[in-house]
Amino acid sequence: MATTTTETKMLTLCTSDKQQFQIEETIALQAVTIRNMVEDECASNVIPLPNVNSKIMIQIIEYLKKHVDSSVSKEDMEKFDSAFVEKKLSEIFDIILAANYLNIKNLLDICCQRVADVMKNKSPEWVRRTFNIVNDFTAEEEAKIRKEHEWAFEGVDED
Amino acid sequence: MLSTCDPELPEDVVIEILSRLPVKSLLRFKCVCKHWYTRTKKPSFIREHFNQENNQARLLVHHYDFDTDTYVVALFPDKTLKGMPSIHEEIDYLHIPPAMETGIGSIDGLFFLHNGLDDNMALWNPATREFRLLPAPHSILPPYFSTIWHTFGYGLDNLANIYKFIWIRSFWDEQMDNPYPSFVVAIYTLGSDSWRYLDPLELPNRAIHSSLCATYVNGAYYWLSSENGENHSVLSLNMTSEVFREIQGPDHRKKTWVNLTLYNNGIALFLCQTDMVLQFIIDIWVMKEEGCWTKLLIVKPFPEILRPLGFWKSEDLLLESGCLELVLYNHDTKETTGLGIYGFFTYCGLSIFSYKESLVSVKGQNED
Repeated sequence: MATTTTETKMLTLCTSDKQQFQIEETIALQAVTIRNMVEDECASNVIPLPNVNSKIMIQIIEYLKKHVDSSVSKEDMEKFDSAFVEKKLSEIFDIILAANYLNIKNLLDICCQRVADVMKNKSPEWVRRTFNIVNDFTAEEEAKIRKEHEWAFEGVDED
Repeated sequence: MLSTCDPELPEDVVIEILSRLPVKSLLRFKCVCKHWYTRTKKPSFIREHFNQENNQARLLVHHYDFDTDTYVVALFPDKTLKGMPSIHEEIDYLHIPPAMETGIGSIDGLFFLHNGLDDNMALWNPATREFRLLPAPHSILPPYFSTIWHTFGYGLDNLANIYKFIWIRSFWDEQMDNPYPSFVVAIYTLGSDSWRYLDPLELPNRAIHSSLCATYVNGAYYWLSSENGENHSVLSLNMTSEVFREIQGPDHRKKTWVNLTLYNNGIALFLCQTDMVLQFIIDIWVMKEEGCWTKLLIVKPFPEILRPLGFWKSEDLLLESGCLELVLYNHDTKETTGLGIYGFFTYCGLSIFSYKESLVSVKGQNED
């Protein structure tokens, strides 16, 4: 790779817990929300990100650093992505919220896919607990809906 | 271990997650709450789910199995066609339902099924396991007219957002002992649950041929038409206007065996012939826009090939070999790969479909 001596432009991101992260602008601009802030010049030297904490920011920076690197092959990137989402679901949810706020589409996509992969063989009860959803069907209504596709309940994981 | 999402995920993110689930999971999660129940039934969600990048078209093969003396179903795990497909009970739901003989499809995850013995027709969505027998259309010709030949077509009327099914037939007048002069075209609209007839289709001295796959593109269905096996053209029916158009075929003079198929979601033609030493040569033409044909490639000479079956992605052709094996031919590398699946008898016992799961209901979108 060619090396240049031109100065790399840096941005400072400030998370909800007041931690500051200095990263290269090219890395940060992959987040559309940050790009818009920089383009609109409404960002000073420090960009506040009140919806993201430092624990999540570290992981997002790790992801962005990898994805800005054009020398990484498609295969290696896919490997990185699948290893990246090997996290607890609660952590994936936090990354989803941050990726949604920062508008990083491919990160949001792989995290949503990870959630779908984890939940696809789960029971409706597991889904309600995991997504904090209140069952608003009566017992009769629920039984009737379940009956419509009884076969879809075959092979469901134990909770 | 339980990991709950707190604070709640935004609505559009939840929809994004749901759109990445298999149909089976979505049907199971209908009872999670009322909101999910109604949301996953919306046509916009059904479309988003169908078009989701992870919902890839997979190769579905119906074929005769010598070991068990039955017809079995094979579904390849992904688009690469690497690794043997699964042939086990879990995909039994992909068997064409009993009482039906043949199927065309899939379009938006739906198959159109037909039984030649009693002319029963049905719609089938294997992913939701919905099956719907269509009513028989009323006759418009007296009983002494018998069917000589027929073909089908179907697809979405993009404007009304409703599926239509076309049955084109030619008849023989047994009293006068001559053919009925035009094609009879019946059309079934999903949702209205009834058949009606279009004006008879006048194509003097021409025949209409069934395609190798469901040749539906952007709101129109396409058939191959010919005059004594020559002078090929393409017949299209716009599903919204219900108007037929005849489109000039490519300019070729060779006497060949021609098939209509799809290539990269456009119309393509296979022109097949055998050379002096009986090697198979296939000219492949694609229709860039209506009536504008480009020769894509020539596959030759090809020993031991019985017939082309269709394209798989843009680089690969699926063929049936002389020993009836399903074969993949990559036209960049010129390599052929046997897929280990065999037909039963020449032109029998091997049907391939491009299959993608969908939530589309066989009841029509206006019904619950």
